[in-house]
Amino acid sequence: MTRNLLTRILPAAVLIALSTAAFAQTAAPAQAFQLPAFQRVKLPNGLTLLLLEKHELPLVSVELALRSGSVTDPQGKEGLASMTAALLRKGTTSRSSEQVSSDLDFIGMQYNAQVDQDGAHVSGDFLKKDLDSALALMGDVVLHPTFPEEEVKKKIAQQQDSIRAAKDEANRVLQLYFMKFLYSDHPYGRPANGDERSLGTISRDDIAGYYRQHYTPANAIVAVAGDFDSAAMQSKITQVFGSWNGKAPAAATLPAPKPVSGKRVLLVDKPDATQTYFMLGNIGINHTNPDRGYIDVVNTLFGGRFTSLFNTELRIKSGYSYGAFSFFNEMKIPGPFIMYSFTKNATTEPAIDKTLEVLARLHKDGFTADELTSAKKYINGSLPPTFETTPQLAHTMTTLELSGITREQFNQNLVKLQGTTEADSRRIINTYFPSQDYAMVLIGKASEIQKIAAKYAPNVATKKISDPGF
Amino acid sequence: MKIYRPHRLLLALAAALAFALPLAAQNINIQEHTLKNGMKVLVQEDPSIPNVALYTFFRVGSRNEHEGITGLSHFFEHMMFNGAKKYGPGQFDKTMEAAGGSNNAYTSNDLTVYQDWFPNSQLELIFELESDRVQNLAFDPKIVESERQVVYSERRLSVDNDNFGLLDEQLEATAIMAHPYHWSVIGWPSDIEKWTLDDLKTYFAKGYSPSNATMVVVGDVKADKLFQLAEKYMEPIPAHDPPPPVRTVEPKQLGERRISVHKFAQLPIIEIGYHVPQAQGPDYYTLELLQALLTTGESSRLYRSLVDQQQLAVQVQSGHEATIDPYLFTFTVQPRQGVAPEKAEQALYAEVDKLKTAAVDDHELQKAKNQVISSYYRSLRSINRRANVIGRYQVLFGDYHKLANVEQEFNKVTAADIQRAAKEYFDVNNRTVATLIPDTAPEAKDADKPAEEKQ
Repeated sequence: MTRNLLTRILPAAVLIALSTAAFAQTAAPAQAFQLPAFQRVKLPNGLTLLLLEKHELPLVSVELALRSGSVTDPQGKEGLASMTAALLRKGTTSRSSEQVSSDLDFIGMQYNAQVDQDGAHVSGDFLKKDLDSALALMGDVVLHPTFPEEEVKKKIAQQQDSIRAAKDEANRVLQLYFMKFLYSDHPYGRPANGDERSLGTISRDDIAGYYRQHYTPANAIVAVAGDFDSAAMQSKITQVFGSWNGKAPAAATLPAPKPVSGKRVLLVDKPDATQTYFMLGNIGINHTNPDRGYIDVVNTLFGGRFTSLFNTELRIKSGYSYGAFSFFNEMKIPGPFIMYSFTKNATTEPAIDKTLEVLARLHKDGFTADELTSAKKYINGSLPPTFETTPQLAHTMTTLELSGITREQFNQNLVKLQGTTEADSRRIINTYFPSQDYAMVLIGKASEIQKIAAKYAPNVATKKISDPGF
Repeated sequence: MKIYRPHRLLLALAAALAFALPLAAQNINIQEHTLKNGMKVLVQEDPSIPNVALYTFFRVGSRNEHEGITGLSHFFEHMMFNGAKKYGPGQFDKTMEAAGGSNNAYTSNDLTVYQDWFPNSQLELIFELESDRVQNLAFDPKIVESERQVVYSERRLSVDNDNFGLLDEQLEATAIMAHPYHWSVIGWPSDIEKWTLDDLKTYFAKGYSPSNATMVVVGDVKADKLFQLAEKYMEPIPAHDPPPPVRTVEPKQLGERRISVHKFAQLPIIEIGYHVPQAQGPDYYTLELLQALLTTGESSRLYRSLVDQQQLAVQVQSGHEATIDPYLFTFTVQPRQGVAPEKAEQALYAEVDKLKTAAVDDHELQKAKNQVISSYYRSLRSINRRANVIGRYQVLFGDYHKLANVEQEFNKVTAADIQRAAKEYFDVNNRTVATLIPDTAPEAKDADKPAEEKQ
């Protein structure tokens, strides 16, 4: 049992959002931490290579990212990008699926492939002494997958059941429902890992076709962090990935998401819930928003740390909840701004009332100069551990590259946020924390909270947790 | 000026072994100092980032509770943040966050651990905050009531509304009848509702003696300076008696126990527990390797058989923890939709039985060793995780020096050890099985609602 939810119990989807936020959030005053320098090289085939040497431990982390995320899934085939990434390891031209697993496990390598809206990430983490076999394995799964029919069927059926299983725990699926409800038909509203129905429409041909189009060096970034010599690593990466060829697919053009105007509520009935899990918010910001540093400072005070206004009211003062957080998920085009908490069925109404009251108070009172100073120090102090290990650094490099942010710009933003003034804070609150317009999703026991939900919007949409989709 | 005895942990000892990490060896020297009140302080200087992880381990947890106060250790952990003498309610967190620090804490069956993470410039402030609460914790009755609700919300999140958490609690309560590991760390709902202020005060007086604590500091600090601060802030706190020893020994299980939990769900879950020895008992490392052989990675035996080849399960996991007293080795299987739980359960036994009848070959055993050893080294690569590992070795394994032998301990394990342990522990008479059976009509069960939700 842990005291603070933030670091432990958040569902994976929320954690991803938080880590993105934390990554853009962590900061530096004048002489403090700045992201260490790394080398950026373009190979002749168009592959972008990022190298960061770190020699304290004989470990190496590699992350390969593609500039194609789940937004490239055709409508109705949600989960195609994600299934393609998941199936890379399920058989190559020279290794069976079982052989790939045995080889990965024999060197104690941690391997992972996952897809979010804006990109795909395939990562490997291993001991320096296994560098050659690890790179060969990563090259094999990325360059030579065969997508055996049998494996495709198996993986898709497993993923459908994983979604059913996730729905047995409200907290694991809340953000998926929220994204769908907020973004509606926009590609950001589609579930990156698909849903029970969309997965069933995906064939082996879809996967092979998706792979041919998107898995090309000009569409890819390889980041390596750890104990190596950069020149030697560049030649090793060239050996493994140099013969890869193909053009980059046309970049997905995404319409600007439309913020919710007015109030919309969705209630998802989970008849066994003894607690209501809720999110409310609206469209937030993208990764390059020039105000992002200021927003980090303001959100830290509003809902980004233990003593935030939101957690103080929902947890510390009232005991309504084990935790209450807000975050901006910065994405390629504006991602969501979300307030998240949960409370027992009987206190659903006062807890949501309090949540709205906290938003209203933010606008009424704003933050003092002392509070802003506290947030800046907090952000700055939590920065170094965020960039401490080689998987963190490899992931940081691919994320920056996908976002189109240089290291210099990243570091400048950290310096800039240290200058946040009360006037900046006021402007940020007025611009980025809408209090009258919101989308709200509740997962809970409808027979007990239906009437309460109706209080927060003129019409309440309803679903059952067992209904397919989100 | 005192002279401190530095103890160097030389992982270079392991250089001859398969996964030698000579560079890691330089990074793991630990200096040790015991304060006059018995608090042990362990420091590892590591200037690679300008931050510090300061963890305080109290050797007290749900194991030290009894009926009526189950969950109190964890509740107490929450109360440690709610005000002391110098820093009143809310001030501990406010002060730490304003200084660029953050914190958390966790409670297990055996331990309560307080974690502070902060820039190295704030070291003295953190000592002030920590000594204030360890010496002069205050209990405001109003805060006790509101924190009680916070903990209940945590219970709903991690047990009542989490089918894995719920089944886990029921399995432990069935497999362990007598020893205090019988109840979950969060505690039974009726106890959460009824703990009193006096319970908290008694508990503080029992568990929170400095002599019952180990402080582990890893990061950009100098050991001499750290020991001086520990003497200034922690040494004046008087020692008193530690919690009384836990007397009850779990009697040997004499036959399989089975329970079922009926609950609204889309998919069933099966959890199987076998009694196994404690961290300092025999076979700790053998059991870790059994875990790797059976469920670590997609080449593991149970993943390959149940998830991949037979497609009976969405996932299969196993659990084995370092504990003070004998605890459980668990398997958790989530069957695929339409697969009868019994079928997945039998398939699991069939795989586990193969480990009893035939020895693992060298390649597979080496694979498991490579997995656990590389994972051990990964656990040392951030100052936060390293502070946790060092503290757990000191408190649960009895001596942080044993960290130097982890690789050797794994490498000593033979195929015969694996086979013997599989036979000894994964025995039907040593087994408890809990099955969550999906129930599609939850409304009919309103009469069973917990008291709290009925009012």
